[in-house]
Amino acid sequence: MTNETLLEVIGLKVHFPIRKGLFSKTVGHVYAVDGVSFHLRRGETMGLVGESGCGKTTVGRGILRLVEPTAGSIFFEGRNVLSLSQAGMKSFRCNAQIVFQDPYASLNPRMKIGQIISAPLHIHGIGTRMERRDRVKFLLEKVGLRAEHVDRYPHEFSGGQRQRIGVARALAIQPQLIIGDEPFSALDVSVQAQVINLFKNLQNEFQLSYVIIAHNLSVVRHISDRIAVMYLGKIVEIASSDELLEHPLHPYTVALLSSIPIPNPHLKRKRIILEGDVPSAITPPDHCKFHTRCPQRFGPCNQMDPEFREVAPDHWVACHLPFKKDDGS
Amino acid sequence: MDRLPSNSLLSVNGLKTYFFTSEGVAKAVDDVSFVLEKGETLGLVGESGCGKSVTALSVMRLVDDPPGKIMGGEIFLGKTSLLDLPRPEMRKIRGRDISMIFQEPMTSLNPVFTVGYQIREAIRYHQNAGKTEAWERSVEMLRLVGISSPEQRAFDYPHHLSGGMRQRGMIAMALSCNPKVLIADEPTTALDVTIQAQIMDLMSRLREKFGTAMLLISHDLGLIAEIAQRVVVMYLGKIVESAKTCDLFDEPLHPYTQGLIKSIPKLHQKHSDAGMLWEIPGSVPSLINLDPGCLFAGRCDHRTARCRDMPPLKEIKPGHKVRCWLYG
Repeated sequence: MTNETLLEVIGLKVHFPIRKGLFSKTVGHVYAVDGVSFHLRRGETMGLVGESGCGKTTVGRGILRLVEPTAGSIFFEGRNVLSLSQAGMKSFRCNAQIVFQDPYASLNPRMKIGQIISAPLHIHGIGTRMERRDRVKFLLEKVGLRAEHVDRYPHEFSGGQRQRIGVARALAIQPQLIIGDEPFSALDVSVQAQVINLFKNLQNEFQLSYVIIAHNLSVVRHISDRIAVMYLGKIVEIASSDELLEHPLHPYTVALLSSIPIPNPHLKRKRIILEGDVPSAITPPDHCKFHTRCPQRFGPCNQMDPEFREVAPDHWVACHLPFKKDDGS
Repeated sequence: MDRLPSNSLLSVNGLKTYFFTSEGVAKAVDDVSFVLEKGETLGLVGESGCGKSVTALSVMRLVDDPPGKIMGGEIFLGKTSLLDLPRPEMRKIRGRDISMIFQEPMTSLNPVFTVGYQIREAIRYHQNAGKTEAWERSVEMLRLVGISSPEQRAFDYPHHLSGGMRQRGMIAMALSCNPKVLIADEPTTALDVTIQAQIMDLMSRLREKFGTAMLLISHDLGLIAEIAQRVVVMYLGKIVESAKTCDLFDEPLHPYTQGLIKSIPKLHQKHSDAGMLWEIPGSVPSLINLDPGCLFAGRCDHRTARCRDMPPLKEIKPGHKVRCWLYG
């Protein structure tokens, strides 16, 4: 890992319009991502965690412009991705690829493995037919499959093997950044460990940078250098993995950590049970979005937006609590 | 722990449930035996395809026939043999004596009836209650599972409710007739962790209140460690290990159980110390045309020539059984 910033996301917003009626009038918005900023250093792994509907997948897709962001900017190697032309986008996507969650839905069942993995090479016009085939065989071996698999179809593979194929496809054009959208969650426990290790090995070998989107914090801590926690379209806390897990500051992070069951029957923990459900992203609460469920809410929580501030070196949090004075204001 | 047979509420003995498919016979559950005692929580763990859900469905006699068929074994609820009951009798048992909570709160409620109506139906069927009385009880159940303003919520259709609320509705329905046994098949897998914590907390409190015994099916070893008193580990239709929860996590005996526990990333392990995760090589094979012998042999580090024969499930220590040749 170097200190050079590879990706910088500033104030990213993705709002989806809700259209109704005969003239498809816009009646509201889903505020899926509502002002997200973070940076990723070269060779680093950033974990993006949160519960369903918090917008973490939309952040991943927004970075690659698979959904068009509403506002904000995304700098990749210093260039703003959002102002790139079509040709510029094509070369950007040469450097940034994605691995999807569901290895059953993300591979075309009518294409052979060789065609699937060489599709990116084909699109970007890299190599001759023979070179592409050699590259596919090389990649298959890199992800722990065999070169003979090149002429098989996806249905001949198990879930874990399919996820390896998805990884090989993402690697085909030698990207610098890979966004993994829940790449481990559809896999069985025994296979999940294999794919996690594969991600780590490939990172070392090809100097990849990862944004790993996941809901399982144990997995995220294992693989990520830094973790960002999202709630209702905003990042509430960012810190290095160990710092976040050992000294969580945001009450949501604390509750999230205490909710995770730990496979150790001797451990008796005090669990923080949050009230109610996550509010709708169509009508999110004003100001701190967590105040409706926060066990520690006080005065300013529903009156002022909490600023995203650095409270310890490289530890950022959006919460009034660390600045609470003794008189409760 | 009291191990008198009179204390056993549900006992499953040598259960075999096979599926007859065009490719061959899948022995989804093959010679599975366990006992559930009064007020106890038994965890059933395993990966997809290990037969844990089919075991639950067999107990409820809800396996689709064809292609599935219960080929042998016996299931006793107290002194009643469930497999010998005629269908109408079985129907009276479901929901009254044994209830089940399914994994998908989205698909296991009927979308065209209100939640209150669906709970009331169970109460009316089993307890001869009048319409109004049953309705009041179903509102009461919704209140008990922590749904706010249940008088209005009872009139909601399932699509009005969030995933967590629907699962609460399912739990209200399952507990409405105060069953002796509750089968929870991955009750929180579809939910987020903070909601999972709410639901598991609720289930523990209700279980204490009603003294219900629970069979908890899950692939999440963390959940099992926190909730269950005893654990049964399944692999490809067979029990490979069963023990008290503490024994199983302190000293797993079967190489498969050891591998499973080692391959989960630990929340409390520093990222800086985290090396590579332990891997169980290969993947779970198909249930059809399994090799004879130990089912795990193909992925096991300890395999020897003996593994060509199926090892028996043997009690190594009091209450700790394992199916592996390593232990004689």
